[in-house]
Amino acid sequence: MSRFAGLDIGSTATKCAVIEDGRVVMTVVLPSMPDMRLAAENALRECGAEGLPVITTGYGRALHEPRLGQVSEITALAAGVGLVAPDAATVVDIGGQDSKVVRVEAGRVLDFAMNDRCAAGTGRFLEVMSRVLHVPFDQFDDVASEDVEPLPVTSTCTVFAESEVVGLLSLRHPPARILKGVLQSVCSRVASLGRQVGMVAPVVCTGGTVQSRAVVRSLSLALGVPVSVPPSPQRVTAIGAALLCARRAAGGQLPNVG
Amino acid sequence: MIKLRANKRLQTTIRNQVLWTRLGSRIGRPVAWVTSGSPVEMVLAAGFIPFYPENHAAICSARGMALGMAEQTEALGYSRDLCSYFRVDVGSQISGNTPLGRLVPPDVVLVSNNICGTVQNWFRVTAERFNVPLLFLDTPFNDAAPTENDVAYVRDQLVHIAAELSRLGIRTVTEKRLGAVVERSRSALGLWAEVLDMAAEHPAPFTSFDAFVHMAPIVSMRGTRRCISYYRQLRDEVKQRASAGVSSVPDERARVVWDNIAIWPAHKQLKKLFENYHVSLVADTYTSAWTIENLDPSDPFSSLARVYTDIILNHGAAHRVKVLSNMIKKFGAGGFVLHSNRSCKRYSLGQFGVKTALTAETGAAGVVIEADMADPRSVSFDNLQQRLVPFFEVLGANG
Ligand code: SF4
Repeated sequence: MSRFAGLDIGSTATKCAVIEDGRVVMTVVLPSMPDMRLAAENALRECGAEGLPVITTGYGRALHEPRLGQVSEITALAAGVGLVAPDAATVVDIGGQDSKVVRVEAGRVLDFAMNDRCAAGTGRFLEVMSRVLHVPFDQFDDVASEDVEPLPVTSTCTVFAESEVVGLLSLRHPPARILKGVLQSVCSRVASLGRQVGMVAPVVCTGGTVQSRAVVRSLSLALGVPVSVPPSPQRVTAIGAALLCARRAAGGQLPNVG
Repeated sequence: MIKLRANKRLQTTIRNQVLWTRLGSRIGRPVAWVTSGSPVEMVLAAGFIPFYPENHAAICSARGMALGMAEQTEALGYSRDLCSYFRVDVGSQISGNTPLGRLVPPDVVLVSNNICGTVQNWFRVTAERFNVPLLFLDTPFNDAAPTENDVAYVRDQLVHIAAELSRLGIRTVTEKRLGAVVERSRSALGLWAEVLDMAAEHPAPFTSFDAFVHMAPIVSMRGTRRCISYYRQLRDEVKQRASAGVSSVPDERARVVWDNIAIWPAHKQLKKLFENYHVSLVADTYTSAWTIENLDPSDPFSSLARVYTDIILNHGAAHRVKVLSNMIKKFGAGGFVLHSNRSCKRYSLGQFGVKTALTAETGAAGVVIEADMADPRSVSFDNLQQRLVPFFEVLGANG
C-alpha cells in the first residue's frame, strides 16, 4: 500500500490529508462540531482514506480508532512544514484554542512554546471578537485594509477584552480601528511565545486563522520579521501526520507514538 | 512494572514516626516544628521531637486534602498567591484536620531563611498561634559556595540557638552530642545519595517518582537510627534491582531530569504518563537537596553552618544551571523538565533563562511546565500533558 492518511482532529476544524510517495494527493477540512467523532469519520471518507493506515493528531486525536498511532500536533506540524516549507526554521501556528511557536529543522522539532490556560492569543479570541464586532472572519481583510490607526485593546482576558470592545463600540469608535487593535493584541501574545524559543528566520505561519492576510500582516509586525504562509496553512498538521504514518509503516523511527 | 518492596515499609515507617511523635509528647518530650531546611540536628541533640509542617502539607496534598485546608486559610484573608504548603498548613492548624490523626503542637519553632522568605513569616504566624518561642537562623544568599565570613556568621547564630534549645529542651546541646547526631545524619544522607545515584544505571532501576515518595524519612527523620536503617534497606533493594537490570519504566527509551518540587495533585497521572512514553525521570534538584556530602561530626557547628547555608534554594540561577548540567551528564539524560511552581517563587524564578543556558551548555532539550506542588486549582493534567507529550516526542526523535 502506498497511500497514507493523517487526521488532525482540532477543536474547531477536523483536517484530513492523504499522501502517496511523499506527495499530497487529497486534503479535506470539516468543522469539528457538533460531533468530533463523526467529523473524523466524514473527513476520512471524503478524503478517500477509509481503510488506509492513519495517524491521528490534534486535540481529539484519541477519539478515532483504529489508528496506526497518535502524535502531538507539535510533532505533526513540524513534519508537515518539513514538506511544504522545507527551509523554515520557525513555525508560528495559531489554532482554534492554542497557539504555538515551534523551532524546526528538516521536519523535526527543536524547541517549542505554547500558550497555557488562556484563550488570549488564539483563534478563539478572534472568533469572540468577530462576533462582537459583527465582522465575519472572511471580511477581516476588507475591514482591516482601511488605512486607520489600531485602537489598543488592553485586556488580556478574552472575557474582559470582549467587554472592552463593547465599550469601544458604544463610544462609536470605528470597527476597523478596533479590529486592528484586536489583531495586534492576539499577535503580541504570540510574539511573546516566540521570544521564549527565539524567532529564527525563515518564519512560516500555519493554522486556520492565517488564511486572513490581515492576521499575517499583523503577525509579521508583532514578530518583527517577515512571515510567509504555505499553501493550505490549515492542513499542514494533517499532512505531517500522514507523512509520519508513512514513515512508521515503513518501519522508520518515529517519536514515541502511543 | 515491579513495585518497590520499600513502598510498604515507607508507610509503616511514617506511621511509626507519627505514633512516636504523639507518644513522645505524651511522656514529656518537647516538640519542635522545623522547616525542611532547618538544622534539625540541633533540636534532636536537645531532646526535641521534630515535626515538619512542609512535609505534613505534602502528605495532605498527596491524600487530596489540600484544597479544603487552603481555602480555610484564604478565608482569613491570605492571598491565593502565597505558597500552598503555607496555606495547607495554616488551614490544618485552624481546623485541626490532618491525615495523621492529630497534630502535636510545638513547644518551639525553628526556621531558617535558607529555602525562602515565606517560611519566615509562616513560622512567625505559627509561633504566635501557639504562643511559643521562635528561633530564627539567617543564612546569607550566595551565588556560589558560602564564604568563610558567612560560615562564621551562621555558626555564631547556631551557638546561640544551641543555648536556647538547651534551656527549652531536656538535654544540653554539647559538641559531642551534636556530633553524634550529625554522624547519624551523615550516614543517612550518604545512603540516600547512593540510592539516587543508582538511577545513573541504564535502564534506571529507580526514578524521581520513587524518590519523591521515599524522600520523606530523609527530610523528617535524618539524625535518627531508624532513618539509617530505612535507607540501608532501600539501598540494598535498589542495588539488587540495578544488578538484575530491572527498569523502573518499561522499555526505557529516554531519560530526563527535573527541577523543582513534585506536583502532588497529579503525581500518579504524571508517573503513568512518563511510563507510557517510556521516559525515566532519572534525577531532580529536589530530592537530591538531601545528599549533602561534607557534614563533619568532629566540628558540628561549623559544618552545619556551612551545609545549611550551601543549599540550592539559597543560590542563584547560575548555580542552578551548574547543578542541572552536572546532573544531565552524570545521569545520561537527553532532556530536562523545569516545573514552574506557582507556589514556590524562590524555586521557580528565572527558569526560562535557566532553560536557554542549559540547552546551550548541554545540548539537552528542555520544557517548562506550569503547575503547583499542592493546590489542585493550579494544576491541569491536560495542560501538562500538552507540553510533555511533544517534548517526549522530541526526545524520541533525537534519540
Ligand atoms: S515558598 Fe517554596 S521553599 Fe518556601 S515553603 Fe513554600 S515551597 Fe517551600
